[in-house]
Amino acid sequence: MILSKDEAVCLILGMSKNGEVSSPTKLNKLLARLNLYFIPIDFSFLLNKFGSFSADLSSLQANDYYGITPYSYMGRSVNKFILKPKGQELFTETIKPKIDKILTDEEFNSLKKTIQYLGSLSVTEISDNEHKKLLVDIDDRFKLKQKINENFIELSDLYQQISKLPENKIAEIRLKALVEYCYYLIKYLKEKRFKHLSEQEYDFDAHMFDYYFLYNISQVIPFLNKQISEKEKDAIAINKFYQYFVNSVKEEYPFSIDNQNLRELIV
Amino acid sequence: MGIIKNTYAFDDSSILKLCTVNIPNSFQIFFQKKILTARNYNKLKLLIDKLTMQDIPKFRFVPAENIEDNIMKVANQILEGYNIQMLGIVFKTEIIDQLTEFNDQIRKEFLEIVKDGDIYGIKQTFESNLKELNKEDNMPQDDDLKIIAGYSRYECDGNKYLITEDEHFWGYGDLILKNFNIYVVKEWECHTLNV
Repeated sequence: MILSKDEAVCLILGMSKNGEVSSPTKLNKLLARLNLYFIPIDFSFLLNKFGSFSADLSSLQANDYYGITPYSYMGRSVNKFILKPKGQELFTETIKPKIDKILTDEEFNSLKKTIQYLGSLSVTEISDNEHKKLLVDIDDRFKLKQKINENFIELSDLYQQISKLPENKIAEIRLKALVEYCYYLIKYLKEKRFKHLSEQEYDFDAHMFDYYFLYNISQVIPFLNKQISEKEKDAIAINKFYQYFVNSVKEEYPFSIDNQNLRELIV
Repeated sequence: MGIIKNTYAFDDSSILKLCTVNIPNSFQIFFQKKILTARNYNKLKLLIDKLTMQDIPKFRFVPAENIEDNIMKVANQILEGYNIQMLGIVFKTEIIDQLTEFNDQIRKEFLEIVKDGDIYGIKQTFESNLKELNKEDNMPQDDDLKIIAGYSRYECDGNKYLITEDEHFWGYGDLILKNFNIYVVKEWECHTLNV
């Protein structure tokens, strides 16, 4: 499961106050934030000094689902995004049913509140908040390395356990697949992506998914530990995490099942 | 005089086997192809195409209570004989997801025959004619009996065919025909049906 570009934009607009987002930069930040809620969207994000940046967003044009309206703000012309009735229809009939497969109503309402709260902040405030969470700043490199090592050790332990788990239900199979995927993903981040961390200054070529995945793996480990020993699995949550890690990225990110050379990164 | 039309009903496993699974790029190296199908896919497809060409409806049984088990069974069958040396459980999950999505879409193309929970008499018929099957359990499951009950009570002018790979049906093919007037068609022979 992945939300297309239009679906992702309509999700943000549909959750925002008055169905509006006041600038493309803010829309970028809010879309990026969906990653911290494990929602796979078809946008690729790169790192820049202001946080996550998506080149795809600058090419967005008004369509049947949302309009782009210029307005004047402090002497500058800024474009705001506005949800159209067809976008609202897409939200209700297509996006929400997809979201219902990965989020409970409570989680969805919490996401909606967060998006509305973030929408009230400035772009810089949203970026700072994201940088701190993801340990993107150079000053946080030590913490970042520590986090990679801790997560790798914990996932190695979890990975050792999955061969003993049954495969009688889809949720059980998916849980094993999630652990398997996260283990190889953190191994890849540790051994390949963040290998030369201490030698580098700010890495402007970094893919934001390196940071999103690392942060999200650390969030999901306690859940995995608990689920492995639970008799009744939480199928919705397992599916949410699985869909996020496996389907958020396509060929443009090396650790992806769509990359025909993935095997070389794993072996 | 109208043309008497036969009824062709498929069990859930056979319907799922109509799915063509797209192999994600990273796994294609283990298969040397881009698409995977269940072993009887071509035969089932041939029958489905014949029915479609003649505008004959296809049927399935509802409610589909065992769909999760059937999806896992078909996924295992699709994977049989392959050795995937990387992210094997992830690949299996991807197959399961594609089968689930396929099931959500294809079920709209099939008309429904409602299973019947009144299986007391049918159960007795089977119990007094129990056969030695290759399967672990010689007795059909209650859900199998509900299919037979629902189908036998379904009104149709022509013949009733049940396409299935389940030995609980074809192992009792004679009994089911004699007592319930249903022709059980082994899935791997379904392409030979004249429709």
